[in-house]
Amino acid sequence: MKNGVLGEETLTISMMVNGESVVRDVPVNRTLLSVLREDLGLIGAREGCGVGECGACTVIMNGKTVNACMVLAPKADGATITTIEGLSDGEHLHPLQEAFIEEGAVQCGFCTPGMILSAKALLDENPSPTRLEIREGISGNLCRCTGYQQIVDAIELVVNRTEEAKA
Amino acid sequence: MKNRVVGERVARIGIRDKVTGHARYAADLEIKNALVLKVFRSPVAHGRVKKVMTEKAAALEGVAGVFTAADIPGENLYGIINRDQTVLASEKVRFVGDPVALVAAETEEIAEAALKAIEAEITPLPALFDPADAMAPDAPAIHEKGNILFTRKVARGDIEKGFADSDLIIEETYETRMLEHAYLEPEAGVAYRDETGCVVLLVTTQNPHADHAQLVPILNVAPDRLRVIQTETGGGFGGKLDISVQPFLALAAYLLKRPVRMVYSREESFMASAKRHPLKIRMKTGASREGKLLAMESEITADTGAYGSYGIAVATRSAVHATGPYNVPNVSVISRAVYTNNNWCGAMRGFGVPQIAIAHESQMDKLAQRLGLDPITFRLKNAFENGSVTPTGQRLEASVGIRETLKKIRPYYQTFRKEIEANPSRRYDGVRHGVGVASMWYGIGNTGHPNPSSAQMEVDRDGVVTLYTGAADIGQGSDTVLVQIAAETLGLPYERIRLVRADTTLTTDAGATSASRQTYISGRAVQEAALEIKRILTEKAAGLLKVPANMVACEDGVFFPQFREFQKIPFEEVARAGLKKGEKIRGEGVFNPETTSLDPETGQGTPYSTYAYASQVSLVAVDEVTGQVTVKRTVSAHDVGKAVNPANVEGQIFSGVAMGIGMGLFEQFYPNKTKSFDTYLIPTAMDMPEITPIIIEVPEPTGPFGAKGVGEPALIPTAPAILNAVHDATGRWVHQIPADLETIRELISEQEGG
Amino acid sequence: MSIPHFRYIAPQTLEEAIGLLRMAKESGKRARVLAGGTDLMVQLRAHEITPDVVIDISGIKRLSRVDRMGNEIQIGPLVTHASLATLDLIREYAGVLSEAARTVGSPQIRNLGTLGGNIVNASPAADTIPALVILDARLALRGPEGERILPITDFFKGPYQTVIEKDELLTGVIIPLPSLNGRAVFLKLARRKAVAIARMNLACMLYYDRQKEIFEWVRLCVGSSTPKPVRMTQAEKVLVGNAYTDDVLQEAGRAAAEQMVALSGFRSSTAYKKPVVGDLVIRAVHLAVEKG
Ligand SMILES: Cc1cc2nc3c(=O)[nH]c(=O)nc-3n(C[C@H](O)[C@H](O)[C@H](O)COP(=O)(O)OP(=O)(O)OC[C@H]3O[C@@H](n4cnc5c(N)ncnc54)[C@H](O)[C@@H]3O)c2cc1C
Ligand code: FES
Ligand code: FES
Repeated sequence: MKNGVLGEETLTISMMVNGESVVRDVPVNRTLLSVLREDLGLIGAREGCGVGECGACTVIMNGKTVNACMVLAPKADGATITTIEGLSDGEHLHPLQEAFIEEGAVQCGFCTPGMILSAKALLDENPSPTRLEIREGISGNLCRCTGYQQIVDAIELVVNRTEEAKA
Repeated sequence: MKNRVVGERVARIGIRDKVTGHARYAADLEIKNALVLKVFRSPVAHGRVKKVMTEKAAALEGVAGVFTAADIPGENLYGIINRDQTVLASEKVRFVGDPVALVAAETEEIAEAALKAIEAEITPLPALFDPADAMAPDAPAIHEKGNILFTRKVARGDIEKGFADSDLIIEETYETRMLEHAYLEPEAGVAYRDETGCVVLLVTTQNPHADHAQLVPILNVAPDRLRVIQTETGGGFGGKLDISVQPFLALAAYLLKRPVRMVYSREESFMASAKRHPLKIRMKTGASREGKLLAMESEITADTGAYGSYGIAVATRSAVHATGPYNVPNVSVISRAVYTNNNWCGAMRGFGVPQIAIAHESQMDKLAQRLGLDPITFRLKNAFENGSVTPTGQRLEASVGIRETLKKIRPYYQTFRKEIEANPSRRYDGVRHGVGVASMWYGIGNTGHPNPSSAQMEVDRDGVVTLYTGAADIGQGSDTVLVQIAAETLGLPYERIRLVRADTTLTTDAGATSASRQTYISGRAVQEAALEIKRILTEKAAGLLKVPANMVACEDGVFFPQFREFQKIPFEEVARAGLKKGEKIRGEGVFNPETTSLDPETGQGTPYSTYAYASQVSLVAVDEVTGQVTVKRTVSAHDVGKAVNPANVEGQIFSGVAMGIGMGLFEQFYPNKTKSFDTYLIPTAMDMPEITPIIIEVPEPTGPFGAKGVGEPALIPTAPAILNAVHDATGRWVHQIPADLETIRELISEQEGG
Repeated sequence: MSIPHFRYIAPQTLEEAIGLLRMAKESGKRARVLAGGTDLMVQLRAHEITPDVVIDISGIKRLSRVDRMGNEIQIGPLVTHASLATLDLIREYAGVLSEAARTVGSPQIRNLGTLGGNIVNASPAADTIPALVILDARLALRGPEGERILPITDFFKGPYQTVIEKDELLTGVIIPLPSLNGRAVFLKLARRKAVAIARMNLACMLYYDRQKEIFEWVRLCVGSSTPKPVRMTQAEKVLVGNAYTDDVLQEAGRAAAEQMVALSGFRSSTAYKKPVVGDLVIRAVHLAVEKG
């Protein structure tokens, strides 16, 4: 405490984002979403509502999906974060990305990055989910375009491929 | 010859950028030094604007400009069909959220502070929230011309005789609610002046050319001083047909000569954007003992809210489609769009047809039940076929697939019935199952208005083929489908075609991405452009191959004489032959489907040149304790003429079912109350059944490769099928949507009580 | 929409956190505790709250622990809904809390949102609260003066209102291990199947003696229906000592409905909720008995 003032208005936060270490000074009243988008140019996380309801801002933080709009930026200090940009090296797509293309699981695409990250977190935890478990796993990601069916198909395709590869 | 590209499940154009997160929507565009725009909106539903005091706001550090109606260089008026909406309120505000002043500031925070510093003196006027009140003779006028925006009549045959001849008459009133499109991407855009001073807008939109046409008079500039470019668009469903951020961006960029950006929050999007019209529908239907429909009378009232937007189209479409896809010789419909001080209502997937389908499909099931016929048999007895005459007097000549759709869902209907009988409900689990059917028809394109599309194609010396279309792909996939059509026509691989789309400087008007019209109308325009290129190249190839042109074919990018396929010339070689550097081969296509305007008194005429048809069956579970309805399975059969890309068609079907489930079961927008997705609930993946899509192809002779459309039809039968299934489960008819917890529980309790 | 300005501090120990809360209180500063943030961020965005300082407690390790101590389990307030749903200790000894936590929001919200936040936010629709009530949970609150422990039902004053002092933290949730072999059920009724606030939720735990054919004991709590969470004692009384018969169940349902109306008065939602609460009580009791 300095001169009766509690806390800081700006903090230096360091995070591992998509495998790279990032250090930034940020005002404490910003969200992780705005830091990712505006300071780091990681625009794959999108703002669809800003109140935790739509999942368009989903990123993986310390191994778990979170709504980046619900995370106050200083909370991400020390965190490991994966955004959609971290899923492929540009040349090779992640199997989920491939499957989304193959199944036509994308229309306007606004929900797609969040959807893929939720699917990834789901499969990391449960490599062989049922269709219902897949639906549960992506239930925090709203999509107004696809009716979800081709998305569920795409995730199931990855599950089946992984199982085939094992067999 | 077999199609090679059309009918294939080719990957969507741009999909790779979408799965990697690199696709840039308007909010993602980086633009240096851009000012942030914010709008001061009316806190009252109806009022007279006395004074808007902006001095304090303008004096704030970091505020670059504060504008009111007085600052608009041109006309402060816009509207897609009838112009009745102000960019910034000058005299009146007509709903909570009406724009009053515009702020441009260096940061979002400063812009927000500036909004707080604006004071508006608005004298409240009596506000009207119910169309019935607005139509009362002594009601205060929301607009000078009165509160009835538009009346559409459709009259055919002798309605009185029709009812006199009927053995059975059913009459009921149905009500639907105001809905929000809920596209995931809120409205956004950026604007700047280019080196020539031209105002350039990059914006999320369904119709850049209409945006342009509306913005030019607002700025009062020459048309070539403004350019609208569609960015990647995160869904629209009709809600991005009206302009939203566009006039603010254009105005600020023009006046301040600085780049500007504007991104609606979800809350602002909900408050400011168009909604689906709530309809009140009284419908009376008569049939003979044998099960033939004889008469249908309907009175429809649509609440268009504060502004007209597409209200006229909704009044007309609901009237024209009011019988459903059935032969009814005697018809009388009157449909009105009425102003109120609610949020303004505009285009939303289906323009009134999803609402009217609830009425006609409930009536069909009621009649079927009373006649002792199963719902499919009864529909088949009355469904259109080639040669049928519609209520507007149009003879249907081709591509009438409604019977096919009914026949295709019949086996599923029967299976679902058996499943229910095999699994009776158990003690205390309180679940009742039901099966419901619904059908629909939907006219493709604008109603009784010319709605041309145009497209250009170019081939350069290197054989690079470029397709120019004004059509905005908003996620539904028109880019892909149009390129498929071009590639198929030219005999080129799909990947060979470059696309330039939806830019008012580079492309010509293709009309709106609405009314399920892009595949059919713009598709045909593209096909025509490609045919012209093909004709030119074929002649050139014929010269090179020294055979008559009618002997030359092109496949997979190679020209060859038929019957002498070993003699091949690559496409690019043919293109180059005789072309000087910089020269290009050009083709242009225009298509304007044949329609006629509708008679103002009788509605007779040809509103559309073709119709899509569909039937759907759903299995639902109704929890009689909670009133919760769960859709367990849905089968949806659609006559699309030709599925240019079956994966896209299926995507539309899944999407339509999802939107229909939301509409039927829980979506409801309360003006001035519903703020965001916490209370406006759209279906999650958990709310969706497994869906079986069935594609039926009864070719439309005027469509590209026989194609029609599917975007809106996909939605239309969903809610009606659910309501009919709820009746099947509970024995109760639902006359209003959403069929939410309270509605269903109450219906069931009434039954228990009585 | 930008979030209001405030200062931020992330204490690493409980003592530090309480010290900060006390300092804020003494200097007249509005302080807000931040846990997962899933309630707080929404309120900040809407400018419903404009704190001077936000005290982020998520770095205080001991508040994320779950321990078994004798015949109690102690759950730290920072334990997330996702953990409640999956941790063996909870699933085994407080299964109904697991079930309730599983229904909260979405996977993302469950990864962020905490038990403590759910309790202190005190929404009438909070899903974990009815479960905690029937588990006879007690809450540990810690302030500059030390710790106090109170039954969860004493914690709430009304919707979004609690007895927590400005300089107090919720530091633990204590759940006695059920001594009897009870069966528990959690039901959530919402307008949608996921990411939906409860229209009504209900936790029920009971022991039905099949030999004697009587309900030995029953605990029922219905959320989103009364101004503050309470046990549905009237319905419990109807059941205890009686047999599992249709008449008894119906009467219990009626009793629950009447108690709800007595507590909440008649509102626009009562027409729906009154019959439904009764029927849901019946359903829950039935399901609990069926469990074994
Ligand atoms: C999209 C969405 C869906 C949701 N769905 C549900 C749902 O289905 N069911 C449900 O019950 N809730 C739901 N919630 C609400 C919320 O997620 C939960 O209440 C969650 O448990 C809150 O925990 P938190 O850690 O995020 O709280 P925070 O937001 O961090 O804090 C909430 C309040 O508690 C105070 N607080 C937190 N911890 C302590 C402590 N240890 N001591 C003192 N004060 C403290 C804070 O100061 C604040 O006032 C939802 C929220 C969102 C955004
Ligand atoms: S933007 Fe974060 S959940 Fe919608
Ligand atoms: S693809 Fe448009 S929201 Fe999902």
